[in-house]
Amino acid sequence: MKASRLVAVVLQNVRRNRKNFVFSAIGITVGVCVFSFFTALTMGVRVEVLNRIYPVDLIEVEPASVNIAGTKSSIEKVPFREEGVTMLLKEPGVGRIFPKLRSRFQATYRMGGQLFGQDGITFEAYFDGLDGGLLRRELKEGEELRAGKSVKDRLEARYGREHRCYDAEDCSPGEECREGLCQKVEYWSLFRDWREYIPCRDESICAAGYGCRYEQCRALCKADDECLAEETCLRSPCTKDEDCGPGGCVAGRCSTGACFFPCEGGCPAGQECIPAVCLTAADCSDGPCYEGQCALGGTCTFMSCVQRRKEREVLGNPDMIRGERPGLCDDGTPVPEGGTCVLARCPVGSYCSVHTYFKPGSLWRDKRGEGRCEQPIPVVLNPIVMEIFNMVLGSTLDRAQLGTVDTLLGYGAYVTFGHSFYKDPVKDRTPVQKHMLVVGFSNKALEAGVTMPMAYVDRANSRYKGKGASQEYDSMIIQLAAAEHLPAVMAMLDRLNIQLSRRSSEAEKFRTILLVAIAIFFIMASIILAIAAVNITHTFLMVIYERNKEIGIQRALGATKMDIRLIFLGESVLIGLAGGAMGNGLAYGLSQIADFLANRYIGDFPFQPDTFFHFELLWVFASTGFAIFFSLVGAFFPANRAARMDPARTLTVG
Amino acid sequence: MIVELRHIQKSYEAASGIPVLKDGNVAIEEGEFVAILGKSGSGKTTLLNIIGGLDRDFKGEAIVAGRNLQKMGDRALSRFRNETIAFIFQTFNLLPHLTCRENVAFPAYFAGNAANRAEVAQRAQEAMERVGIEHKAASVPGRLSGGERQRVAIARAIFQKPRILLADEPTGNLDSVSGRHVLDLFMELNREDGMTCMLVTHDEQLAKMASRIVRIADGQVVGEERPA
Ligand SMILES: Nc1ncnc2c1ncn2[C@@H]1O[C@H](COP(=O)(O)OP(=O)(O)O)[C@@H](O)[C@H]1O
Ligand SMILES: [Mg+2]
Repeated sequence: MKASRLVAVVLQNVRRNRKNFVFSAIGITVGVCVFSFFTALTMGVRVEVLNRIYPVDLIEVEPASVNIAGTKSSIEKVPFREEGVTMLLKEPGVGRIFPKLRSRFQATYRMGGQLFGQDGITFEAYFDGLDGGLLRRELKEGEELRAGKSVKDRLEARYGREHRCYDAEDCSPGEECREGLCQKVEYWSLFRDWREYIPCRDESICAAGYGCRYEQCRALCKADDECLAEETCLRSPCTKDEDCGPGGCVAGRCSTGACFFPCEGGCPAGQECIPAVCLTAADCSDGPCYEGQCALGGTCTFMSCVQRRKEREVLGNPDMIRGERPGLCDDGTPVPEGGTCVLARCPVGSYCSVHTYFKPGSLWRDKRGEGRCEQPIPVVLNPIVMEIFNMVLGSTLDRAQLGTVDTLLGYGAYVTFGHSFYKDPVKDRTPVQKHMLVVGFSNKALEAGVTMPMAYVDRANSRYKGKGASQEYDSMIIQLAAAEHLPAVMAMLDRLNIQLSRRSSEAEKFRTILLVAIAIFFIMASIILAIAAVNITHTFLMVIYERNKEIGIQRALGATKMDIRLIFLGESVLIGLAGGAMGNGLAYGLSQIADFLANRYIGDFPFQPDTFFHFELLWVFASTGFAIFFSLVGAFFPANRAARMDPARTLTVG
Repeated sequence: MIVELRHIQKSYEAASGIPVLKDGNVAIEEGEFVAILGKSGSGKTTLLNIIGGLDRDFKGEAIVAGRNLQKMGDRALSRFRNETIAFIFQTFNLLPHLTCRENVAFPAYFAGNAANRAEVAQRAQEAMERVGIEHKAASVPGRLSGGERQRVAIARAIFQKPRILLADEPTGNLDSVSGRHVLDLFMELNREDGMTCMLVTHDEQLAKMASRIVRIADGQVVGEERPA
């Protein structure tokens, strides 16, 4: 029997036996509906909620540690240092790695009236540090994505190419002067360690412990270990004490040098590689080394990353920085007794900090009490913060909620290092208040705090807990090359004895729970479908009894046993198809109702999704296939019985 | 010889062993019009089912249209029923949910040849015209009189242009006028198309229309005659 003819006969039968058909399909519909509804709900919770709280492609790992007699000792095969990062990057499935450093000392945040009313609020601060260069790219993409077009396009449309500016003061708030054009502040680009970028003409502008080198304030040092991990301490040659800053000339070299980044391995965005200082003629390509510079057109062989010249020129123009009102900081902060505010005005974007490092007995000049211009510490927030913010604002403080994360972009707050509600200040360390600026959002950022460029955390840790306080990363965030590498990477972590962070293992647990939930719903649906199949068996046996004469006629007219069998199985396939379609449709309808009710009767809560359901075509097909399978099973026995019926008997009896 | 039955034995309950057909020997030439005459319960229908390939559970040898029915598989036998045999029943056995046209064309579903829709419709139309029922093509059998129903059944029977027509008391449910019409149709088909007809009946008068009468009683052929 040809397939098209079979379909025609099956359709004739279904049309005639609508009641039986619907009756048989109801059970299947219910089974498929249960399966489809709960699968969509579970998947919805997973996709709409869980994956937003715990992004699928991010795993945070910590050094594995064992508890031996009460003391934790790490048994790592992969060190949580640069070498470890290099090792892990070679593993398949690993996309990028973001090492993380946590703050190890007390601090508090203060948030101003902008969001929390007149008095603002102060609370205990937690923060951590991520590598600026790695995160900047992600921040840039996020910011441009939210802005719609690329920032540059939008500004060109707005100002045309002709618009010129000298610095941010020529521009409207929220803009900065880049390449002679007023452009919207690219907050993402601010996520970097600003220590190198305080422009200067001479020492007076730089903070204590910093000297003016290459028109930038650079940390002063006596040896490499006083600089950041990647930096080198370069000491200039000298003949007499006057050639040098504090410490004077010792054995032909200034006892105080400055920290520089060697360019090996390239420079971060916005920086260029230029010759640094020379120590002896050997450091120069040609001619002698004179006062740290190569004379007679020679070039220093030691190359360092510094900010691009163009930017240096604008920012480093001392006329723009140095104002006319010594002794008063422009932001109105009172200058402490005995001190002077070197800058009357700070460049737009920076602020006047009246705090300085204080280190008794230090060879560094004590500049306590003098103001200096500092860039706010750029911080990145986790979108979770925004959700919690909204919850607090909406319900507790009765304030309007923030629409998008961008509302918080450029928002300023304060952090006071060394201050705490719970602990006494660190001995010999004055608490220092710094400005912070929200420059972006990332799901790699701390959920209950802020994330800074790692160098800030490194420096602050060293300051409050001593050098070497952060020699190891506290954790690493592994970004998978793609979400499907999760199992492989998990196995790799297990093999290398690397632990998941509390958060990542929570996420794992949740995912497992959801998987179990799906399995339970699958079993439930299978039971319902099995009952439906039994129901189909009963209905079909009845139908066959009713139609036995007809079966005989069909046989007399030339139907084979297989034809009869196929006619009944075909009807059951139709029942499965209809049940699958109706079940999925019903599940979708119910999901809409459930979403509506949830929106209406459950109050707002963080991470509330638009919908709790996630339907996938694959599942729709799978559940329908499943339904067809069960109806076929149910119809199998009756179809066989119909095929085996004796046509002569059915035609003569009765 | 288009039908040749030798020593056919048949019993429905194997256990009881009481045979319905004891020693059936029938031979029919192509183009004959044979009436099988016998009392109710004598085994006429059983004999017809065996010839038509509906019943394979018998002893003896049945060779119909040159084929040994017992040696055929279900597929071949079904095809044989579809193409070579036409059944006419006392109770018409039309499918009540289909129109007359659909009933007539129904054998096409099980046909081996790949006839297209138009061809099937065309042949159904011809068959209906042949029996004079084309004006009822769109009605369902429930709205037809007995005589009309039997004509639809005959149209269905000749739809596949069979060689043998097996009619089991075709007039049993009809009044004498429509019965007469139906019988005239058979004779016309026999005469004009050369279709071999076997007419089962217990009505002596009807049997006389045939070219040969085979009398059957208690599962055995008890006599043959040729009416004048
Ligand atoms: N399906 C059956 N099961 C058991 N006995 C049957 C069956 N069909 C017919 N018979 C019996 O076989 C005998 C012959 O029946 P049948 O061939 O129908 O006779 P007829 O057509 O001449 O009236 C009867 O006694 C009848 O009771
Ligand atoms: Mg009979």
